[in-house]
Amino acid sequence: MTTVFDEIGILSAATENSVIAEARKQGKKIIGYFCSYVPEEIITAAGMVPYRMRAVEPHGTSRADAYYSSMNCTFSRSCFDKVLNGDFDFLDGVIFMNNCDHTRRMHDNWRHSGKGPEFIHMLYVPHVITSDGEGKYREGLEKLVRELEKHYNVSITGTALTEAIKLHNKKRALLRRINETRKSPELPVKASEMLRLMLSVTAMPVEHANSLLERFLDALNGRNVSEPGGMRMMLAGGCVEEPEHLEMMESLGAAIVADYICLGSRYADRDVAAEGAPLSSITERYYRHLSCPRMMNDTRRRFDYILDTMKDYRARALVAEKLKFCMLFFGETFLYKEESKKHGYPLLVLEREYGDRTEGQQKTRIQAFIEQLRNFD
Amino acid sequence: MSSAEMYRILLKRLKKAESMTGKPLLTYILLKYIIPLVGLVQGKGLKSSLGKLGLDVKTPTDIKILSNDIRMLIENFEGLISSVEKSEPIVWAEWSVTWELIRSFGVQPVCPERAILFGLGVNKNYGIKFLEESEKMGYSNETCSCQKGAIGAYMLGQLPQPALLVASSHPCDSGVSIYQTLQYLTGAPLYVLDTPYWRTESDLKYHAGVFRGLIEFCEDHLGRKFDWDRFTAAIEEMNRANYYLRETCEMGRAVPLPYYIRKLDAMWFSQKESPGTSLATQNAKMIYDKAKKNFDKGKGVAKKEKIRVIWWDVPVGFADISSWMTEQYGAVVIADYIGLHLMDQIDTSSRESILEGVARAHIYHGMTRQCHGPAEFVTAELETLINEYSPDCFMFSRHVGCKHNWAIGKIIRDVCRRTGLPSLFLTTDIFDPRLASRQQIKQEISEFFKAEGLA
Ligand code: SF4
Ligand code: SF4
Repeated sequence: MTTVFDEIGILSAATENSVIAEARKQGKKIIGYFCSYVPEEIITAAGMVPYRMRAVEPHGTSRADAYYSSMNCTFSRSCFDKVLNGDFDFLDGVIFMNNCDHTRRMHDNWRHSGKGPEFIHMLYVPHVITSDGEGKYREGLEKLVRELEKHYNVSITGTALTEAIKLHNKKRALLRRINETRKSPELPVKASEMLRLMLSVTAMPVEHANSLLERFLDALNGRNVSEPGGMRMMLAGGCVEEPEHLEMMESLGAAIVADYICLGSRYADRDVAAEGAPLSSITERYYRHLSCPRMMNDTRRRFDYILDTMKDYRARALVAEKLKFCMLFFGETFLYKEESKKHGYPLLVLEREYGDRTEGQQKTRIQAFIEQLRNFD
Repeated sequence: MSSAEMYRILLKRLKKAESMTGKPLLTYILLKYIIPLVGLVQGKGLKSSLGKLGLDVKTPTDIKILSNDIRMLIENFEGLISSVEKSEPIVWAEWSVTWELIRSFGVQPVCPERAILFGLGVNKNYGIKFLEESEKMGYSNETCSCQKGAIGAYMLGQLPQPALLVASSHPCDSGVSIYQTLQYLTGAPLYVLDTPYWRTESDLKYHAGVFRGLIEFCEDHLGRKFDWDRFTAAIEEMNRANYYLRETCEMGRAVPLPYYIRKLDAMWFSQKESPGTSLATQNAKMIYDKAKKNFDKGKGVAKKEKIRVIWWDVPVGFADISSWMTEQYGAVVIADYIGLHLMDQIDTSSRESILEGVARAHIYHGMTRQCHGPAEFVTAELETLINEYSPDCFMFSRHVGCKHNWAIGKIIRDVCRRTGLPSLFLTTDIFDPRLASRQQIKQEISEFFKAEGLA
């Protein structure tokens, strides 16, 4: 019998999974988006399916290298390589935001490549959290709504937004409940499974995602995947989307119980307020949700989140990851080192390439780190 | 070493240099006739360090410009040293932040990204130590040397403790990241000049509000009032300088080229660190007058102009490549990121219009202008230069920190290909000769000129 875990294994491994393919057959438009600052609610309210951009099933970077360079991060290059390979031809539109220098330039390269779709939008998000910035972000969302309406000849009504908010709040609430189960000493779910779940539910209609999440939550009942001697850890980083990489860590004795990654608990952080004007509530939630290193005046809150989460989830150490040439996470991991000294938590910083091209070296470092932690216990 | 030691060492040298350049005509005669004749060692040293700074000393006017540059630096260094001694607040202001706004609080600014340049000015090892210090802390080669230098200089006690930090969210991720690090390390409050992605009227209004916020932030944290009169007067003076600079750049269309790019590059610093001063305006005017004279006579800065170069990205800061190209190959640089001054005049009729003008100036400031938005901001500028400034080739220095530039190689290459412009893509770091040395850069350029049949 296929379990929900098998299901997410299959769904997460595909660029265009079967649910998305089915939605397209039914005439749904699929809109790719980058980043946790693009509100899925707006896409859902337009009657379309939000699809979080990814680089799973990578083909390397050789085609993308002609546009980018060896100085750019391998997530961007792998993802854009897939664009050039036609892997994302099923998308009806793409929404970018000015997150980092590498992906914001994909907005340029994609348009330059002449590879469709026609609708390629850039949402400007301020780099600071301020009340003026919130107004500016809202202006960007209003523009996005207008342009979606115009391009696709649809109407994104207040009622549709309210309905979408309910559905996406439910999705976030379910994810939070699933995450909460990881506080237990008997771990019901592995981080690699969580990542597969996230890859799945960010590439399908929200209704479908919610029913998958409900089944997933049920399946966790009484489940225990803890390995004897597993070392409870928290994972922090940006573009982490390879379950195999987490499996490798798990095979070495890491029990990753919490995270601060884009495709992780940050996604489910806070609900959109159900009351009030829907676009205002969406603006507030997305602008002020747990930020990433692109937000320049929110550093302390992010570090406190890590400290609190490690405590709540009884994580013994922090593993921080960055991709080579990623300046944003370079700065962040640099400061984790200071934080770890100040607050006395063990830290391992890994620098790697998308698709784990340096796995041998990673393994040795993780193994040694876990050994060290065990020796301290 | 105390936190102003580096500035003290340089101040001494600058004062010496000032005494030598104080009489332009005399210095000119000295440099042109006496030094070559008797091979005065100290004079030779001066000449070569001036050359390295790109402050070619070919005429008495050049020496006067240089003398003003030195004076502006002296005033800034003295201000800094005095603030340290009197424990007055010091504000760290990122590359693109105009100092006049900070000075209008009666406070001394300092640009942390410039620390590496000054360190290298003391001597090469002194500057490299800043880089090594940050590398010891975990900063890698892939990060920008200006920013690594700032961290290293601070950790080695070469940058004075800031009361506040002011940063900009563009041009790049390195800046976004480093200022959070600097805030963490220094513990000083940080204000971010959030720079919009686009340039619509609404974006400019937002950006003007961000500047208004900066004034409020400084008032709150410094406990001082903003001096609007001083600021307005400075903006008016800046307008005068910007007029001359823009007019000079317009003359870049002429063949042969009537100006030296390094002088315009130097003005990028003066307009940021000594904006609104009469010395900066005098320099801008002298640069303009000289270019205009050449322009009217159809005369170029190269003895015999053979190759016209568009230099893309920031110039190499540790070596004067452009003067070398001119001497060696008759190649002149028409424009680079920072030497092309395109500032509009700021309307000083009201506080609102001033803030809007300052916001616009920030966005159109060389480097922010090309890097803050979509690739079209880059290609539009490049195509204008190609269509109107008669270039023979294009050189992309690809400073290691500018990942956004590295990310649009094909777009740039395609513009060059479409317009039939030979292109050279280098790998450099603005202040770190360890990545590509002066010699390596020169060699690549020489090979390129030869391969393309330009030399
Ligand atoms: S770190 Fe922030 S900006 Fe970067 S991909 Fe994640 S959400 Fe987007
Ligand atoms: S890893 Fe860093 S550089 Fe690469 S896409 Fe993510 S945030 Fe951008």
